[in-house]
Amino acid sequence: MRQIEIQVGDVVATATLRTDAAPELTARLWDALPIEVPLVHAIRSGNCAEATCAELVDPDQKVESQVSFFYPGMVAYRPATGELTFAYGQGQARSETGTHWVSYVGQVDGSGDDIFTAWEATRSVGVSTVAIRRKEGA
Amino acid sequence: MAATRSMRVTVGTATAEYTMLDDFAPKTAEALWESLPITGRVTHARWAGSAVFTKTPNQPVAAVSDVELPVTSIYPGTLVVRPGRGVAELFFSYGVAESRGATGRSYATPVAEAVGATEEFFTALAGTWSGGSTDVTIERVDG
Amino acid sequence: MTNRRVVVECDGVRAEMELLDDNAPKAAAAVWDMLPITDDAFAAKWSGDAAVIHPGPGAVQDVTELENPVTSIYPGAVVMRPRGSEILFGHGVGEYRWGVGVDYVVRIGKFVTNVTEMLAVLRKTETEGPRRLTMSRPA
Repeated sequence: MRQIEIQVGDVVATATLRTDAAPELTARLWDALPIEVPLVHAIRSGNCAEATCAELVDPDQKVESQVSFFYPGMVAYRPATGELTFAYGQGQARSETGTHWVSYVGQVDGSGDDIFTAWEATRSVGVSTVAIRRKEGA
Repeated sequence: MAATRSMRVTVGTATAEYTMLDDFAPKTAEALWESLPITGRVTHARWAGSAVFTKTPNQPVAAVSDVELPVTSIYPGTLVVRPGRGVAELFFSYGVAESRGATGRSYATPVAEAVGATEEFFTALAGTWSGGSTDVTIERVDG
Repeated sequence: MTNRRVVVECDGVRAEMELLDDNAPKAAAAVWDMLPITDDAFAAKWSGDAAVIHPGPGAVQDVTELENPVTSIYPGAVVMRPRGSEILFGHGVGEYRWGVGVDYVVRIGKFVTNVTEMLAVLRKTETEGPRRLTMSRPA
């Protein structure tokens, strides 16, 4: 089982990668860690924060375990743009002209209340930073 | 032809003038006009795209329940009113934006459009995405 | 830079439309390139309060992008479908739709003179049938 740590400010949460459902994309994410990138609130996809990492861009990569809707605690990855989505509530992968598919690559362990608050805060306070690293011992 | 009414909208330190679209939606435009001045905070949209919004309990606009001229697209520079629960939701678009919610598109009424120099103002609106919520004031021009 | 104007004449009414070069540079340039355009404007059958023309073959067919897409057609707005198969002129509550539902178009213009009179003429297409409409460059 592969686990990652997601940190925003002083808040750290653990998430388990869905390696069976999305083997290639979870491997790609794992190989890119650690990363530290700006985190902003979604402007079309609802209750989630987003981060983009150049190392994760792969326009030719198939979207494994594809989802459109987000639920609390989901970590999603869109390989075409290298975008990671962190959902603290209901959301949907949306663009200017409709919806699209992303890969459901991870799920926050436990209740996630503190990290959800941190993700949601990007809406009122603006850009933050998210650091993602491999969990030690995982 | 009736004289055109205008509002002054200040977001942070940036200001723009908005002309009322009385021909589009006279009842809703009048309700907003009668509710001025409005002060509060604008936050970047999370569903609508390139837009910011504020909610106001001011009357009579907060009591508006109809969508007088239903639109989903919020043209750049347009202010739309969307009925809420005891509040009116005002969206200011600076780019590609739609009235949307968790379950998809929704409808709002366009009541005003920005006129004149807007580049600095739109930059201020867009800036709420990375900079966070900021103050907004909406008032009548010339009282 | 001041946007270019296009003259629209329909049923004896003349109005000017501002071409939205900033909003849709490719679509606006293609329309300008094809002027004058003349066609019968008829009432939209899916999109509500809008009159529709079909510009025919020309530069607009090469415009495939959705530049700043919209679905709503505000009163006085002029929109075009990618690949230029149709141009719609909004005169009330309009939303671009076709057989399978809502779809997106590009805003290419807005009426800026004689608006009330032009919208009244366009509205007549709903009850009185098609009207001959011409889009042209100002003299």
